[in-house]
Amino acid sequence: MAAAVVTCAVVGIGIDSGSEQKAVAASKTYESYMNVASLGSGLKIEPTLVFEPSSLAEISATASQSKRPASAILTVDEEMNVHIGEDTRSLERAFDSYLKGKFIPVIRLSETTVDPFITFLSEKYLIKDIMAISDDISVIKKLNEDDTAYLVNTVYDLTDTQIADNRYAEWDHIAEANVAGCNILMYDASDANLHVAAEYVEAMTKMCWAYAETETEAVSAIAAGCYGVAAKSAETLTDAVGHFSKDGFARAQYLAAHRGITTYANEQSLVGIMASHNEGATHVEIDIQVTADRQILINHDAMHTGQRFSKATAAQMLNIKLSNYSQRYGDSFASLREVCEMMRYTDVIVIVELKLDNGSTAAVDELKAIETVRDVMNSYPEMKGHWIAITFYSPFAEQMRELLPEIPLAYLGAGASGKEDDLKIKPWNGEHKGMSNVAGKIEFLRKRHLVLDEMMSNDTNATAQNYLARGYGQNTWTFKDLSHFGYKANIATTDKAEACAMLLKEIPVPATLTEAELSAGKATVPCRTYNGWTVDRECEIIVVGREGDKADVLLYSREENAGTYPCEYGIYSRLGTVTVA
Amino acid sequence: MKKRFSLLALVVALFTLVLFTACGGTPAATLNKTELSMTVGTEFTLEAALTNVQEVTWESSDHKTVDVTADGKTAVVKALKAGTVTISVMNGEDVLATCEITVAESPLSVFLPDGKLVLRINSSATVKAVCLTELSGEAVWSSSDEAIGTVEAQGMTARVTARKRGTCTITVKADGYAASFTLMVGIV
Repeated sequence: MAAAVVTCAVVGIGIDSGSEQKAVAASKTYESYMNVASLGSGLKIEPTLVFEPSSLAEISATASQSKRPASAILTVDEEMNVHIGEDTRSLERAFDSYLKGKFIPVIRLSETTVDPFITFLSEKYLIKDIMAISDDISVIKKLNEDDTAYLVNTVYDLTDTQIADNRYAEWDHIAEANVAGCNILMYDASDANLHVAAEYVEAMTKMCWAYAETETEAVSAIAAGCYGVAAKSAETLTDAVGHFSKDGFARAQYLAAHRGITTYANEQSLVGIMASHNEGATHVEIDIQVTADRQILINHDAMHTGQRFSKATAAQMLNIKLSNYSQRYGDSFASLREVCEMMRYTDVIVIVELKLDNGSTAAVDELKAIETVRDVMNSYPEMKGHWIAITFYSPFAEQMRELLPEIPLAYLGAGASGKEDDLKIKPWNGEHKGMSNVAGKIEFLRKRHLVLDEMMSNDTNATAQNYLARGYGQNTWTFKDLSHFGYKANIATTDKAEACAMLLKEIPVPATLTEAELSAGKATVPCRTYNGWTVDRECEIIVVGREGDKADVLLYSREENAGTYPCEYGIYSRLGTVTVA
Repeated sequence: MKKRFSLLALVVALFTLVLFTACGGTPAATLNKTELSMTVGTEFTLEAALTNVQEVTWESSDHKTVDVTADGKTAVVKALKAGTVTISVMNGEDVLATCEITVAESPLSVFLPDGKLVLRINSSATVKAVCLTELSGEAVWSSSDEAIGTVEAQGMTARVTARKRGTCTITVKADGYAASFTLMVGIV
């Protein structure tokens, strides 16, 4: 893996030869990142379809279709030959002749093929927009640790794993994936608890894929909220997506209460943070500061009423009264420990923004802020699997990767905005890219094991599908206007979480539906809102399959809240089997 | 004659003493409970059967743990926090009967950190009750003053709406457990 320069950039941005990573030396390079086309379904966030072709002819036939999978799974041997049914081609030839510009290759790797694959990429043919799948996390880790192969987006194959009914049972897999720099976890679509894994994995910013044997399983996976579905046949997948023609979400949005609930509590106070749970938010976003005696308190700014957190003790800061919600004058700052004490009884995921004296040398070196954060987090084992970290400051991002590598982490690109100028550093050589530069952005994220967190913009909307296909969900942006509720995002951060409390979240499929309801294509069903209330809603019935008095159905309804905060979106139920009475 | 008068006086005095003893006697009280276990937020009515006394007073050894509201022979005791107290039925300075009350934390609580919710008029908030033990009955929510705050509920989740300025108590009860918080409604 000798050094050389990157050649013939088509869409992507070449890797800075001055960075800590060695530049590539492959004799041939393909730098283009394929544009993933829409499937034309009504889903706000269309699933990534991945097929596992049985012949080269099937790849060619599928490539000619307008609605087709984004990716193709291929198995290679140690000589880097691809075996597809009866056909065998070198990976180079298979890519150039059948896949290039049409499908993102997803190479199935094992302990014996990972090293030859790395050699292939680094010496023979660097295909940048390539992915790998393995059931062996050490294989994925090996790719990530390589100077060239770190570019490969990876899928952790967990199809042999039985999913528990308890979401936190999946934390160990998510943590393994985070440490290995992997963003996609793939499960068996026939698992009855697939929805449990999908809900949790994606809440933790990872992408959940499922491998389906049948069209019904593929529908079930999409309706469970999986952002990716794999199957042998492309037709199975496109037929499955065809059942989702109505505008809406396959599952509920994740709602992050920005700085807690602020309409009836002080911003970032313990009351407001806890109220986010009551109002039905799935996440709460808080900012943390470090005090001179190394306590972690919750506040947006590094100073409050003239007192700097990093120059005062926690006791001194706690004498200051919060007053932005005047009717609760007298609250003081919450501490990270208090947040842990309270939130450990909930399923709310805490998005911790590492403000910490704006990345100052004092916070980084003298107060060892990230070590302190780690100590607090580790002293509450019940909070394991409840954390996501984000930061504007690269020194903290680097320390997080070292000290808490299992926690999903987003860098918000302060270097690009000049926020880190005061630190007199040029964070990560200015490699942080905008969303429109898919290649550059993904390569930046890959190199540092980061998840995606961007403000909503035309760029993010236009490119979301391209990021999703490679394992990056659009995670947060902040909205006050509930009409933004229907935007395509994985985690939606809002200043109005309490106003979302009574919005439609979930449509449980009833045990029975009548023949008349099926004929009419609609039924009134008890649905659930974000805060857990039951409300009757008229739902459309989509029959996916029927045998005798049993029918596999999807239900669909729209939220058309024209109250104080108008808001409109559609939502599907999970796939359910009903008895037709 | 004088001797006969003295004897008569003695008989009258003895008769009076016997009559007094028979009609008044030593004041006494018996409680329907002498030991009681409660959980925070719950209430119980103690009843005293009184002998040779018409009026008694009731006292709690720690009003912050168990408060007592008396009404003659009965008193409602309310468990406010975990601890042990003695409720005494008093006749002046004399203790006629006692009840030892042990208060345990309620497994039912409302998910609010400081037990109060502060809302502006016409605004609403969702509050949730949690119970550490399995409940067999329905949770019932109530407001001590519906002119100030109303509560609509579905199970353990309630929507509290502020109606006018003031303070009231919102209570949830289930399976004999209870939890409450203070709703403070401000202006605007």
